[in-house]
Amino acid sequence: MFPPMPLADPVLVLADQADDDDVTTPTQATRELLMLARRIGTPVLVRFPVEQAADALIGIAERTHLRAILITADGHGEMISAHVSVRLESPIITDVTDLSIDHGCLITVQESAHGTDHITSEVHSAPAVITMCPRPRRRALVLAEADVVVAGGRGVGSAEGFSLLARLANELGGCLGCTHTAGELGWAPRHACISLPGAQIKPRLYVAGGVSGSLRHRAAVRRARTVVAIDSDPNAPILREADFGIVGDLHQVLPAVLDELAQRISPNSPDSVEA
Amino acid sequence: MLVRLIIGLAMTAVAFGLAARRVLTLYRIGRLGQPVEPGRTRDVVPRAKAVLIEVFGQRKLLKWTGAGAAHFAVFWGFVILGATIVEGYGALFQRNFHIPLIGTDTWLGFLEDLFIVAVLCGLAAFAAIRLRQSPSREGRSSRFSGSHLGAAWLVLFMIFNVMWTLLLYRGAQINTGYFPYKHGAFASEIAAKILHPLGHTANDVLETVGILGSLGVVLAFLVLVVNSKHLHIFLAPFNIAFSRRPRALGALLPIYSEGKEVDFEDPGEDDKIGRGAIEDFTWKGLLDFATCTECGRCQSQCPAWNTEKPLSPKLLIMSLRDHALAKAPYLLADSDEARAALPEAVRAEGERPLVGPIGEGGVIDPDVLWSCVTCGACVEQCPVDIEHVDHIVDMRRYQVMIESEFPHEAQGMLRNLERKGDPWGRGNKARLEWTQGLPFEVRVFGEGGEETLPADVEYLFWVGCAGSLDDNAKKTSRSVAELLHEAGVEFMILGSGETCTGDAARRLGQELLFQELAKQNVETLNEVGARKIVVTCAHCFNTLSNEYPQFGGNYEVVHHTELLAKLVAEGELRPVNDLDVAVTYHDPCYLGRHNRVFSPPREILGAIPGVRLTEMPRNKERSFCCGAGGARMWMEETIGTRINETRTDEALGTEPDLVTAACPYCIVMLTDGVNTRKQEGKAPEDVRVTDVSEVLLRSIRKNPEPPTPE
Repeated sequence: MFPPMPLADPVLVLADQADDDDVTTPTQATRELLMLARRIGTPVLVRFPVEQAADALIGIAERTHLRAILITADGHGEMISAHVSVRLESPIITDVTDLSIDHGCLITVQESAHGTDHITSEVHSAPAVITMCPRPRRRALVLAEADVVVAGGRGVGSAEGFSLLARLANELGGCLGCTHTAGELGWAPRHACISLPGAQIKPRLYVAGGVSGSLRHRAAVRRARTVVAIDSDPNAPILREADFGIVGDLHQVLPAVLDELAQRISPNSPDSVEA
Repeated sequence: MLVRLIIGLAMTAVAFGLAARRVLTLYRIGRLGQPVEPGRTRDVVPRAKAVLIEVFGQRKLLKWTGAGAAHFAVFWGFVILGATIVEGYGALFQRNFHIPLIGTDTWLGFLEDLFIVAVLCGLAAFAAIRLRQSPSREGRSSRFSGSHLGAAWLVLFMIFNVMWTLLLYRGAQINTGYFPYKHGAFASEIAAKILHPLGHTANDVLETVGILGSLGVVLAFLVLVVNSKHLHIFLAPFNIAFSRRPRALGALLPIYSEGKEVDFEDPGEDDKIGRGAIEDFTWKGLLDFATCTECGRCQSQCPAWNTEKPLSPKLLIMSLRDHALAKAPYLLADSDEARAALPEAVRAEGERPLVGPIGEGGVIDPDVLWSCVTCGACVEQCPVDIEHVDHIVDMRRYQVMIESEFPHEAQGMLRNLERKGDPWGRGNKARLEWTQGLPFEVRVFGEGGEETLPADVEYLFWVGCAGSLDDNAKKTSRSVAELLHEAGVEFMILGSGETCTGDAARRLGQELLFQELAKQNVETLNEVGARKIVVTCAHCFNTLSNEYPQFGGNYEVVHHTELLAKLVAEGELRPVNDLDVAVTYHDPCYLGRHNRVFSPPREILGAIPGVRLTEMPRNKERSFCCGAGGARMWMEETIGTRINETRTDEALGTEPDLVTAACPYCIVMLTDGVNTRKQEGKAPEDVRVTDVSEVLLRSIRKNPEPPTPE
């Protein structure tokens, strides 16, 4: 992301090990580290396999005057950072959430007690080894994190129709969502809109009822693993996208699904009921 | 006589001293800005012409007839009545002074009096406008809402004082016999008749009092002007001379730091990316802020302001100006000690972030910054050529590239552009889907093994992301392809070789990503040897034709409406089927205002039998945005009412069967709007939103099919 340039106060950023095989684009976590690194010096992104990372970082630190080394605070990161700090005899600050510079002095912020307390430290020697967990994003995006999402679109027909979907979501332990259009119509709350822009979801199971599958909706569910779609229009684009497509009226299909689920969850066999 | 001379000169010395001190301060503040990009000071002749047309011809002001005419009168009044100031000063030294050579000519006396009357009429008009459009009556919808009203009335009052004191001393001069003009000065003669009965002594006194009063008022006005928003009297000619020509629309400028373009492959250490503080603006930016007259023409047109969002281009510029003035002592202090010795308030001003929540001391609230659709309605209207859109995008660039602070929902679009090359993340394999079901084969570059465009291919058809992927826009692509095929125009598409042009990334402020995409596309286009390109998307059109030259991509780019209009005019396409529909046409900002393509879509519609075109109240240069520009398509609109619904209501007001546009973004937004209104029962069920090309196709098809239900 950052091309070679004359370096003032270089800050090494170790690319997140979770980076997928796509080596040209850093992950979100890595990019956040780069942004923070930019505040305290010149970010330099380095990428090494886990096993070689510690040695490689130490090699660079011995040759170059670094301001800091930033590493994501995950399992591998903890290990690598500990290694590097011991070998370089340099300070280590762990689980840092924020970085800044004050009169040339590096300032780190750590959070404890779920973010209610802040610990601010001044770091006077370089390079500092820092493991970072950038501030967690606002938790409003439950939908974006849900494992199961059930959503409806214009084809649901009414706000009442959404109650069927809500029951299904409830049975499956998932979240209820809607398309942009259904949100506009007020059938479901605006924040439940799965759209681009809007919530981007990545559930293991996505059930779409009465969703035709506009481009912006399909863009937002691209990362769903299994897609089940119910729509009365056989030409609806969502059916081409779905792993299981059902052409039919969801007001008939959904009750049947709910019945089936109810039977499987609590079969009438007495031995499964706890005495 | 001696007393009158001494008083006159003393007043002058004091006023000029005060004004000079202020001007010096303003000059030093202006010097704080960065150097401008190189083009600003080149092309002296067209710039001089622009000053002539905009300043002396008052072209933009006269677009609003009433207010424009009043301003014309007052402006020219100031120019012509400069002569009376010379006469006034002359009379201090020599009681019967007249301007040499022409100073007793009837025409000059007449002209002076004519403009005294004209200015008074102008003032009456201004006062009427201010009373009728007063914010206390009209609230937010008044264009003066948020402007300094007291200062404006004071300025009008001062001009009024200049006029009546002029008439007073000129009338008295006639009675005392020292007036330079025997004939022509009709208004002064009326004043003389009124003053005559007072007697000779009284007129003697009134002459002196009048001259001193008139000069005193002019001098006080001078001091007022340099201390108020009325500074535009002196700055507007410079601001217009150094503005982007022909207008600050169309292309955005690349990022400049210290007057040099930032090279992202090898950025300098101290390069400033965008505007993160007031002193990061160029001196032209600071000049823009100082020139704003708070007239509010921009505000009256702004789609964000008109849908109850906090952004008004006028208030944005005013905030930046006020902040620049308040922070100036902090910036001008030459040492840390001097800075520490400044008053608390000034130091606090120095610490304010340029962009940040107002509650946390920010100068520009993020909600203001991110409300802009970059439609350019403000730039189009501004009589002093302020470049609002450029400033907004420059501030966004800093927020995105340095602070990483921007509406998080836009992240999805950026990620998709980075990884998949289109905003929806469908990937380049999906780019050929739209060609399915066409009755002929669309030629795709490279499929025949060719390395450059074959000689028989006239146009490269740049389909664009929406045109390849969005369901409505795919219909447009198909219509255009069918029409070109019908007209026998040979064209080719790049298929999976296309990538997003990067418009949304650039307008969001993600310049780095935009440049990556742009360089990639320019490389592709140069490799295939593209010369003539036709596009359906107004945003691609703008980027390809106006912005790619910045990266060495020079092509003859036409919008499909231009090409189709030409084909219809040349008889290559003959619309024959009578459609019998009522149609309205929405001007896409990036086609119309930014690129001046107003008539071709209308020519197409006009050529179709049975099309009854009704214009919306806001059309052409004053068209109202659909709400998708400036990367707003990729952000949620949670403040105020929806821009697209506002525009939809305007379209529905023309009672159309078809709402047409010529840009896929507009069509998405208007379709949403129409669907919402249908659901609310406020729009007839059979209204449809469609591209102009689809209407043309329906009139050309041999057997017109009934429109397929959606």
